[in-house]
Parts: sequence; structure tokens; C-alpha cells
Amino acid sequence: MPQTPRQPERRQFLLRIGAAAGCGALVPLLHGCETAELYTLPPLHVEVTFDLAKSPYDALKTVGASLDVTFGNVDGLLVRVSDAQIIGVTRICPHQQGNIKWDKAGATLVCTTHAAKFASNGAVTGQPNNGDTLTTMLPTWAVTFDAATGKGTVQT
Amino acid sequence: MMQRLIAITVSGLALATLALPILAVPAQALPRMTLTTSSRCSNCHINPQGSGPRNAMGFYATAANGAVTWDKLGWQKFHELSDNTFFGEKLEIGGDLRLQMAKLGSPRWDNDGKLVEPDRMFIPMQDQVGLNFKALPWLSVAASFNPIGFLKSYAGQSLYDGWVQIQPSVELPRLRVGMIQPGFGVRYDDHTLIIRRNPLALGTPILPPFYNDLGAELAYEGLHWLSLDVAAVWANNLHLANPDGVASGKLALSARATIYPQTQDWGINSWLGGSFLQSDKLTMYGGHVGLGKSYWGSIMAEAVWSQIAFGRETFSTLVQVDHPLKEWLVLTGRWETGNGHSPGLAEADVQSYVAGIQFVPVPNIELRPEYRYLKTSSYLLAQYTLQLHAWF
Repeated sequence: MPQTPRQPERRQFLLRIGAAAGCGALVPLLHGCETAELYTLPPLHVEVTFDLAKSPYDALKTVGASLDVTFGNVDGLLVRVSDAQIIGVTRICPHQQGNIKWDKAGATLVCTTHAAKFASNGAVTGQPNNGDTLTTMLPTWAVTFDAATGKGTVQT
Repeated sequence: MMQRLIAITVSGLALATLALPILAVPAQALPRMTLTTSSRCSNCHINPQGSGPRNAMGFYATAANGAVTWDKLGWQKFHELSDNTFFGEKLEIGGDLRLQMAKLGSPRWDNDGKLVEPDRMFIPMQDQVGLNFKALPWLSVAASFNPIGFLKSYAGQSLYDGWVQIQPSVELPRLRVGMIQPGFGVRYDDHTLIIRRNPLALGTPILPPFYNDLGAELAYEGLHWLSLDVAAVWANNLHLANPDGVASGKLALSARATIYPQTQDWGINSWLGGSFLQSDKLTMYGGHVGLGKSYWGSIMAEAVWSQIAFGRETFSTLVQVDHPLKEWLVLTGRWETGNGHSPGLAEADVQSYVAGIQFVPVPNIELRPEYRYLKTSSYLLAQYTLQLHAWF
């Protein structure tokens, strides 16, 4: 019995459908190759004591002064906002990881990259000047301070 | 004809609306095609700089390219749709939709010291419908609408572009006045590229995708081996993208020159060019080079240096190779680097590798599975991503 010749068009069609299936199968295969790493140390929950009589914390003797610190693998900022209060915040802006500084004149925390502003409790008080809308608060640390003794603690 | 016009417009608007939801950025043209076909972006796109809706030639060129054509699936009417012109070819209508599934952002530590990866999400990158009306042989009016601009994924991203174009003949210079993007470097189809971004803050483009400002451009493509363009725009959107470097309303000036050496015997096409953009305290220089051959593919490279007067400096490079196995199946690989420094910030050093496949299962629809490896000074993120691209 004579064989029916294979139709090239049909073969081509099947080949192309096969290519489509192959491309589709690629996605779950690549799923196994996914990975993520961080080159910073994970944050640690630490309690640090400070004494304004000792360096470097003596920088906080005057109201309005601020001090860059690194506690528990996290860069932070201590600010003497009043006679009786010192606050602690992380120094990394939640917008685009810019550097947070204390603006003494405006009594506010300001990002040096896009000028986003934060209150001493971390709340956003001024949006970044590039048009983005920021809703994430600036992480804060729990700080106790005894103005009479000049001593206190920071919990990260 | 009116039925076809309504059908195309309605389906275009439906595509545009469907893609509106979350975060978004528009994508752009495929520079590979200028190297493999020895043609300019303006040959196939309504926007002569490339990107977005196709003109009649661009529509026709891709109407029958697919692993399976529409007629094989019994959709004869789709198969015969190879023209997007109306009213005696005076009006061209096109649309472009691009969605990407990817993990956006960087991994982070949670409060308990556990590594958290960013969520995978669907991102509408481009959602553009546009038209070009050739009022007179030397005068045309074009506009496109990109609804994802409402989402303001990137500062400085536009909602629309549009211009009046005067060009007495193709041998003579072309003047465009309106909402345009000043020409700089190569326009790519992927908004995640580092080459137009600030490596110090990867979420921040220096020239955002679908960035446009009001101004004018004078371009010359009258010789087959040369193209030149200069533009001047009021930098309102450029200011939003670069608030530290460009004051609102300042003038932005750009200039770009590209030569197109060809070897007739070998069928090799190439381009080699440079760009300059300056506005207020922002200055950018770029260089681009590409080499391609039909059925073989292309290799292209670009370098961009930017500086903002207060001390921020960035330098980024890109190398991309594309190799077509079939017209509807293209292997692609890309390597990018980005460096940057700025007062008060840690120096940025970014490397990105992307390998993928551009697969066109049926005409006018492309799937692009990719594997992306991104390494910065502070993290590494390797992931698969998937793009869906549809155009008409």
C-alpha cells in the first residue's frame, strides 16, 4: 500500500507548536535558578547604653545636635531634640536609600537625595522632590534618656 | 473601511485600558532591526526616533511574522489585516502594549534578620495608542497617548507625546515641534536598562522611558550613511526626573550624530554615533556602536556618562547580542554595567546579565522569557521574567 507523503506544512506547524511549548517550559526550568543574596549584615536587636559625659556621645550635649552611629549592623542617627529627649532613627531613607540628616533649623529629619522629610517619630512630613509619593515611615529606635545623669539606652 | 477603523481603534483602546492597573513604564523600539534590515527607526515607526506605534511600513513588515500565522488557525480576517492606513493612506493608526512579570526592587532584611525577596508582579510597561495624519505631502501631525503615565511610575514620565512635522522631502531636514523626547543614544524596548538610569538609585532613570518635553527637533536623514538631530526643549519633565540637576523650565539641548557604514559585498550594516545632552547642572555624553547582518543578527554597545554639577557622576555601559534562529525566534543576551558616586552616598557598582528569547507565536504578539542576573554593591538578585508584547 503506498504511503501518504508527509506534508511539509503540517510538519512545520508541529515544529512551531513545539518551539512554543519549549519556550513555555523554559520559565519553570529557570525558576530553579532564582537566587537572592544580601551583602549587608542582617540587623541585630541590640541594646546600647550611652553616657553624654563620654565620647562620641558628648556631641549630644547641646539641644539640636546629632550623631551618626551604627548599632546592630544598621546605620542610624541620634538627635538631641530637646533638653529631655533624644531620638534614634535609621539613617537610610525608605524612598531610595538616601542618607538621612537632621536639619537643626527646621527641626526635622531630611533625606539628602530627594529632600523627603520625616518627623521625630518617623512619620513622613514632606514628600520627595522627584514627584514620588512616599508612605513608608522612617524606622525608629526606642531611646530612653535621663537628662539629670546624661545617661540612656538605645534599643534597635 | 470605517468598520476596520472602528475595530482597530476599539481593540487598541481595549488593550490600552486593560493594561492600566499597577506600576508602569513605556518600552521602546528594537534597535536590532536597524542593524539587520539596514533601515532607520523612522521607516517603521510613527515616531521617527523609534518606539511605539508603527507606521504603514512597520505594520506591514510584521503582519505575517509568527511561528503560526493567523490563517493556519482559521482566523483569515486577521491574516489579511496587513494595513493600518485609512483615507487614502493619509491616516496611520497603531498601538503597542507590553507587560512584564518580574520581581521589582531589591531583597532586604526583615526585622528578624530574615532575607525577604521582592514580590513578583505584573507590570504594564507600555500601553500606547497613536496616530499619524499626513495632512500634506510635507506636513503631518502625530500624537500618541500612554495611559500608564497616569500611574507616574517614574518621575518625568509623560502621558502623551505629539508633534507637527514639516519635511518637504526625505532628502531634506525634518522639523518636529511639540511634545517630544530630545534624541540621545539608542532607544531600547526594555525600561529596566541601566544605561539610562542612575546606578546610585536603580529605580531612578535619568531619562525616563516615554520622557517628553515641549520643544523642537531638527533632524536630517537625507544621506543613507548619516543622520543628525538637534533638539531644544523646556525641561519640565526632565526636572522632575532630575530635581537635583535641572531646575524647572530650563532649556535642555541635545545633539546626536550617527554614521551608518555598510559593506555591500558582505551585507554588513553598522552604526557609530555620539550624543550630547545638557540642561542646567546636568550634562550627559553617550557613544553607541552596532554591527549587524540579515539572518545573522546584531551586536551593539553603548556607553553613557552623566554628571550633575554638585558632584554626582555616573557611567554606564551596555553590550547586547541578538541572533535570530527564525524570523519569529530570536536569542538575545545583554551585559550592562553601572558605576556612580555622589557626595554622601556609598559608591555604586552594578552588573547585569540578561539572557532571553524573543518568540513571536502568532503575528503581532511576542513572548519574551528571560533570565536576569543583577548584582549591586549591596545585593544580588537572579530571577526569570516574562514579557508579553502585543502591537497593531
